[in-house]
Amino acid sequence: MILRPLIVLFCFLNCTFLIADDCGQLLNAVIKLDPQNEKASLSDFSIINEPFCDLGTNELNANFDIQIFSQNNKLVLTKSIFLNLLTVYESLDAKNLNRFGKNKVLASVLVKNIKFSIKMPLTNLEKYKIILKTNHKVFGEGDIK
Amino acid sequence: MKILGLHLFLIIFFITYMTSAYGYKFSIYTDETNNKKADEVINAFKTTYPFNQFSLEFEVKKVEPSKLNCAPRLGIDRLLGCDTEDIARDAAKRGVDQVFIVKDSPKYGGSGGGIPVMSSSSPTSMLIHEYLHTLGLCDEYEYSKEEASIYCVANGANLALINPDPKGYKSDSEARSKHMGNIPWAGIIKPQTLITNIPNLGTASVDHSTLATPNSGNSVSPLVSVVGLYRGKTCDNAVIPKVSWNPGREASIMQYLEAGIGAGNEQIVARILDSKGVPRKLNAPPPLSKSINDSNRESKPVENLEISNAASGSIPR
Repeated sequence: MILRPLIVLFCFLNCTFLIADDCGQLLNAVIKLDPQNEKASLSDFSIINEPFCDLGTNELNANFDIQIFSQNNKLVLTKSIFLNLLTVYESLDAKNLNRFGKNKVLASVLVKNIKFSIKMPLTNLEKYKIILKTNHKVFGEGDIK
Repeated sequence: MKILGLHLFLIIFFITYMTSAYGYKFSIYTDETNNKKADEVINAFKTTYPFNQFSLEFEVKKVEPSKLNCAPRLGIDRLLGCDTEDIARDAAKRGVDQVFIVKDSPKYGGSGGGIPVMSSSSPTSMLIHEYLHTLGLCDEYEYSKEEASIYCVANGANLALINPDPKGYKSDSEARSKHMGNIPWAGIIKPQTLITNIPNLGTASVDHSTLATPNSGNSVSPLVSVVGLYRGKTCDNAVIPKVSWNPGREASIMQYLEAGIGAGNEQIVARILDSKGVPRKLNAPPPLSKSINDSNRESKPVENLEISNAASGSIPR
């Protein structure tokens, strides 16, 4: 009597989740961008055993595409993200800490956390590519381990 | 009685399911002994629009100074940067979305790239400023010749590089057809807002003596002036001078740290967070919905656009 509606509700919530395009398992990674040498890489892949719907696959002002391929070079996922090509180092005016002092703009190496939603085991994913959107230059590609 | 119990159980189950939905995880790494500045930063995000409209989870992660790997850049001790690879790796294991660093240091400064950094002696708003860099917003203060020449090569979320037509403009529609495609925030400039004061480009003169008010409310800052196209100064000193433009007339947090984010930048930030998939709070108003004040504005004559307008309209996505 009590169990039946609970099972229906459970199935409804999970089925909705499975059907949704952007939903799957959570894959964490670290992206590293070296703008000066026009290189980028993904590393530290780890699956967290929880459902995740990625509603951020097309960031506003995105300048990079990350493509994930499964075996046989099949493109299974594209995520467009924004990464700073320049880092701003800023000091403050010692006489008034609400005013900026000297600053420097450098094409520093940038590291950032990134999340994907995947619908298959990590072992089925093979390669990634990181592409600058403006000129389609491949900044990096590698294996997903 | 049994049915009532079942309904109650289902309601609790549903609420638990909904509230356990994904929250965007901010992790502040710090070597402070008492977490004081990190706690202040959390409070600032929780009480600043538009961040207070999003489902953000916060944690403070205390680490040894050596883990932060921070050092002055270019030999200038106030230019603080940290090598963040190990921290990002640590954060990835714990499912963190965005890392921040608060470095225990008496120097005043910070940096904005992939991971925003600030020293503990800087004002709390410094980390919001740096995070806005991470989201793609640009500084609105005047850069030196050297920095402007590096920085001012492309538009940013709140920075448009547009050299006005030296002949001037015959009409606003002429300016719109020439330049709207080059204004990153064009989607939040209302159709009735002028981007010229004929024959010149620009919604109105800038007023950097007025600071955008910090906004802890639940909607976009009441506007002193409309979101439009206002002459900036970031790129004035570039070797090849560039005319820069910003969305707000008043000085924002991208210029002075005691200023608010500013109505234009608030809307830009909200759009960026939406596009990153950061979930909105369940009780938050829908993204940039129209307010009652908007309908009031429709009836105002165009020449009054500079004064006393409130809230913004919906943004095309």
